[in-house]
Amino acid sequence: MILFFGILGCQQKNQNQPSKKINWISADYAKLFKIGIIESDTLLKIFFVNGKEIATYHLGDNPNSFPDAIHINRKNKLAVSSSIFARFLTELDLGDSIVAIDNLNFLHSSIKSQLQNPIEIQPSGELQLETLINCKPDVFFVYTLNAEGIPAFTRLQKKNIPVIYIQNHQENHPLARAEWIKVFGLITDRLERANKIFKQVDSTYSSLLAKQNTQKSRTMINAPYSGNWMVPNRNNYFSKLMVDANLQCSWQEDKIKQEQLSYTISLESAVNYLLMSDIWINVGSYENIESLIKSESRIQHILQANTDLKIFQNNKQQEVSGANSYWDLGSTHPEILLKDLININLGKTDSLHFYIQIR
Amino acid sequence: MNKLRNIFLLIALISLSIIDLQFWDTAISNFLFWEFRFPRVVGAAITGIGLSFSGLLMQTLFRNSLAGPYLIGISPGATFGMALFIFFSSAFSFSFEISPLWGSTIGAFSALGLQLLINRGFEHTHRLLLTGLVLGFVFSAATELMQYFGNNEQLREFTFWGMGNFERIEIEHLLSISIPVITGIVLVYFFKHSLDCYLLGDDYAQASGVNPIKIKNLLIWTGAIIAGWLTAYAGPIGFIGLVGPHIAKRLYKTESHSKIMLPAILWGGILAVGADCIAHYSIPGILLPINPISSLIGAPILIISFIRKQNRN
Repeated sequence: MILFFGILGCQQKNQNQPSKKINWISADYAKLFKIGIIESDTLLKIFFVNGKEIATYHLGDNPNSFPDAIHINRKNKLAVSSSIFARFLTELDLGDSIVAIDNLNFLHSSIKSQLQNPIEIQPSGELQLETLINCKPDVFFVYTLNAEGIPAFTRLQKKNIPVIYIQNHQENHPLARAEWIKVFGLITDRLERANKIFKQVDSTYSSLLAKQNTQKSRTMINAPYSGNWMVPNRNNYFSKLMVDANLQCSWQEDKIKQEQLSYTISLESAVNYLLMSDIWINVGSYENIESLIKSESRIQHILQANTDLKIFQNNKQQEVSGANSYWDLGSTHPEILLKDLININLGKTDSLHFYIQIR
Repeated sequence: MNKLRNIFLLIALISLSIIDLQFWDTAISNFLFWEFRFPRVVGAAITGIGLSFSGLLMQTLFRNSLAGPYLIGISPGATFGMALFIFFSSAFSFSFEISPLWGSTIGAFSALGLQLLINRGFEHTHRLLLTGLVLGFVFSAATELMQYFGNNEQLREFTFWGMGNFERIEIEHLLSISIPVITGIVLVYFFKHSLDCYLLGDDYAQASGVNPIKIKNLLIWTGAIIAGWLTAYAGPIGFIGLVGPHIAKRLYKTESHSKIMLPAILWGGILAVGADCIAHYSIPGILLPINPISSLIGAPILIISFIRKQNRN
């Protein structure tokens, strides 16, 4: 008898879930989030690259209508764990709502000027949970590399601080990364504005693609670290940006099958590609040729052998603190980055936004 | 018989090096071959030989087949020195240029200096062992602390160095890495019979006219200089120093230095060049880190050797 009522109880509980059909709206480019609308309620689902769901969030008046989802009620005080998220929020004019941020040193002055003294919660890399909880944020925007990273935030959920996973770094298209502004817009009740911003980004990006000419420059990327040279694979968002800018990725000619978004090649292969390249971009953290040669003296011979090689570094917007808007503005506005890369390809180097020609 | 075995090992090392060099690869330019591939392969062979030799000296010092440069704090010291260089070199401006290679060497010598200071010499091996363990913990803790405060670039540099590779060895470096290795081998070779006496205990050594303190100094200084210097160039490469001498002792069934010194160092070279080959050619176009590969090769060899010994017993 007890078992019967138990089973009946469970069935009744399931029946509490709304039976109305949810209208799921897929994003234009992003694959790791989707938004569902059901009458006055909105649902947001966030996924890992492998399709596994990370979390479902519910935005609506009645928290009980979706008991399995994380209910988001207030959104006046926001905490972020990355300067990229701060950039997304300032795009939506929500800079003054940010009460806590990972590290102010990583913040470009163009974002900093829009904030009102947020508290640092990761000044030395490690998240200071106590400081964060004392800030009493309404939501906390974080990123996680894998499922193992999630338990670190469960204590915050218990303190009624909803943790929103922003996985834009795992998207493999530049526009998909920028489209995450819709998630920030949805959470902060500014979806319409976010849609408008993204539409503008998308149309500018597409118009730049349409204006492309056929000039293709062979390009090499990155620099060695302790004898290791990392390169992005075909599915990496930066490879797609380069392809869109008609920059030929020299290292991808070997058609290496690689699941990782970036991988290490030998110095010998990297130098071989470099000798055949016209352009070399994103030269590690080196500010000039001298510091590059100091780190790897054999680069000098390559520069002597390939006298036409033009080198561009992405530190034009870098400030003394080390903050560089290339990383945040480049994520939210890939069209600016694309324009730079197209201009590098065409040799129009006077009006670059993120890049400086160092050779 | 032993001579034949040694010749076979030498041929194996040369053949493996030729495979790693790929003389039949006509696509590679002279520039790439001499600037990158040749120094890498020859550097790998010298590093393997040196690490295995250093391991042999440490095993003799402690009269234990599981000893290595890490046991007296040399390897953690070298890693600490490199970390110090990577994380703090930008904070200070020097009037002269410091090579990052010095960071690791100075770290290794610091470990040795501390050993000397704490133990007032190298007389008691059990005290060396205990101090080495403590120093290892201290250096590792200090390294971790530096990593905690390091920025992304520094962390990346240090992580890649810690994985080990022979890519950074340039043609100009070959001479500087060979000198301590060759000098050390030649020097120790003259003491090979004294080392055999030392293996039988301090009392036996003394009775045979061998000064054990002198031998300990020879073993520690030679082993530390070689391990510290090579770690600076190739990163902390594990297992080669342990496995090279181990295989030689198992195959030759002796601990006599006159018999196992040559095969031990040749095995070190074979293991290092083999690991470099796997790192470069196992997945075409992708470079794998050396340290995990040398551990993956070395660990099973040791385990099989232990099992076989157990079964024999």
